[in-house]
Amino acid sequence: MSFNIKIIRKQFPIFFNKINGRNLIYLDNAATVHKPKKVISALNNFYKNEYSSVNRGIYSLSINATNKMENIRYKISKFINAKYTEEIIFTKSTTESINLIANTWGLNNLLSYNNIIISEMEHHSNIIPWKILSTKIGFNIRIIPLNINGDLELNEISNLIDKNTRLISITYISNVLGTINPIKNIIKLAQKKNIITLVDGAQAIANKKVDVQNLNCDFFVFSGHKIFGPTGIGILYGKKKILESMPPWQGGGGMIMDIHKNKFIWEKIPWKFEAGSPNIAGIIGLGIAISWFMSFSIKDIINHNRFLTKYTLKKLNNIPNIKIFGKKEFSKNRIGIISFNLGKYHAYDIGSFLDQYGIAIRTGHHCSIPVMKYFNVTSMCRISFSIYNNKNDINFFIEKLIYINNLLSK
Amino acid sequence: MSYSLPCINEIKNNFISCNNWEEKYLYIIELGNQIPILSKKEYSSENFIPGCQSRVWISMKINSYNYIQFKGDSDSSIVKGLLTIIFIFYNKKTYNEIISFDIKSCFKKLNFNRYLTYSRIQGINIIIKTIKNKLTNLIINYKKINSNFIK
Repeated sequence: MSFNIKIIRKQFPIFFNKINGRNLIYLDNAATVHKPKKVISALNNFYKNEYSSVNRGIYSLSINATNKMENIRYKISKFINAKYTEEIIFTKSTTESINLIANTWGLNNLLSYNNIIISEMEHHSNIIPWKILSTKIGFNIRIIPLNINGDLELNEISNLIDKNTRLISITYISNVLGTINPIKNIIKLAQKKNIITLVDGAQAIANKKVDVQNLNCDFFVFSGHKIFGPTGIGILYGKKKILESMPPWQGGGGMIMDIHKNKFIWEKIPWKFEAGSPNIAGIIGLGIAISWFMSFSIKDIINHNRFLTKYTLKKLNNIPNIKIFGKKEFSKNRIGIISFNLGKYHAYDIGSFLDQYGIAIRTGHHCSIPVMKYFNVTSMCRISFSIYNNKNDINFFIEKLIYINNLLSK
Repeated sequence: MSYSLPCINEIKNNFISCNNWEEKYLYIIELGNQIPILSKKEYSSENFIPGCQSRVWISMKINSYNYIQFKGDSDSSIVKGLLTIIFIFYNKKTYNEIISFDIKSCFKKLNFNRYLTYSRIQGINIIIKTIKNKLTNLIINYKKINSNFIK
């Protein structure tokens, strides 16, 4: 599909709505992105014409739904270049994927004298499951520090690694600062020391060409709703050997093959980790979303994001009392997620005013309290871009931000 | 504390005279600038109200007329203004009067709930609930110390 923002935007019904009597200027894409008509119709069609249970029935509806689901699993494996289809596990979300890894691989492999490494820029979903596990097992959690430019102090990694380090779990792209981490290099370093690697791909999945074999990570996780799919569906990629070595997490229907002399024989991967009724509609929606996303060139998507980022940063930097966190100037090592505060005004106040103009930004701690503490604030405003944002969105946002700044300074 | 704060009718009339939501928001912020200020010591964990997106502190004391005296602060200007409105509603009221006072419908009558997000309204509800809980504890302690306490 050609990259024409006007045509792309028309595919998103949400923009036909008015917010407080105004057009919606949506700048909270790091939280979630809106859904194109194709995804919405696919969900509607599935429930109307194709809905069924999966994995269990012998009747046509069920067989068709099961086939559709497994075809999507295959599609996703190709999308991220996994070696095997069975390396793709359907979960609820990035958060659930990390919790699954912590409670299976983690529980089975981490001992009290071990340590794991995360970074200071992680989302709570990549901090709290490890904290909870560490209170049970006793292992240490070491932190790669942040610096004022919003980058990680990568030199510190070798100081943090020792013979007891078992895992490096790190975000590909920061949901607060937009920083792209050089994870391929980090993974190479980890590989040399036989350290398992987990990459949080929640922000990266719709902003980079993800190739898990090229990255050579052991685990890669992301959420469907961040790549134009429905909520309630996530993906956990794991290397086949590792997944096969892990015990199941949730028990229930569909994840045992047999019970023999009181011993449970687990299903093969991926189904070992998919107990209960799957979110079939979510999977169908995600499949359509990924096909839709793949119809664009990733280069166009990246360039569009870079253009909006450059344009916005230039305009923001002209506002006298603006404080941008992390990289204040454009760089190819970041994507279009920009966190800032305006003078002494609380982010919540700025967000409330902007909302009245139909402008949706995010305010608060962004589920990343360590980043807030690093920059010594309790909250930040955050704007973030997606495929349907345009220059007009930015112009209107900046115009209103300046207007609010003047209003509050009186 | 209360001498410089406007009365309820004054704020009602001022809201009505605001031409649009911008003026209403600015008026709320202006009210916030009139809030009785906390001393440094009063920014304590005891006075901190958890559960709001912005930081909120409220201190309460019983004065010689058995009215409850409020002081507060927030790092959000809009929340500070909403706090001031709460203090105005509770101004010159005793413990029992505050507990039985239907402050939520008074807020509704000001007719600016439509300009507040759901989470902001929830925030106000949390503040009101916390004030009532803390006030009850304050009264219990006060009763223990002061046997002349008149309800």
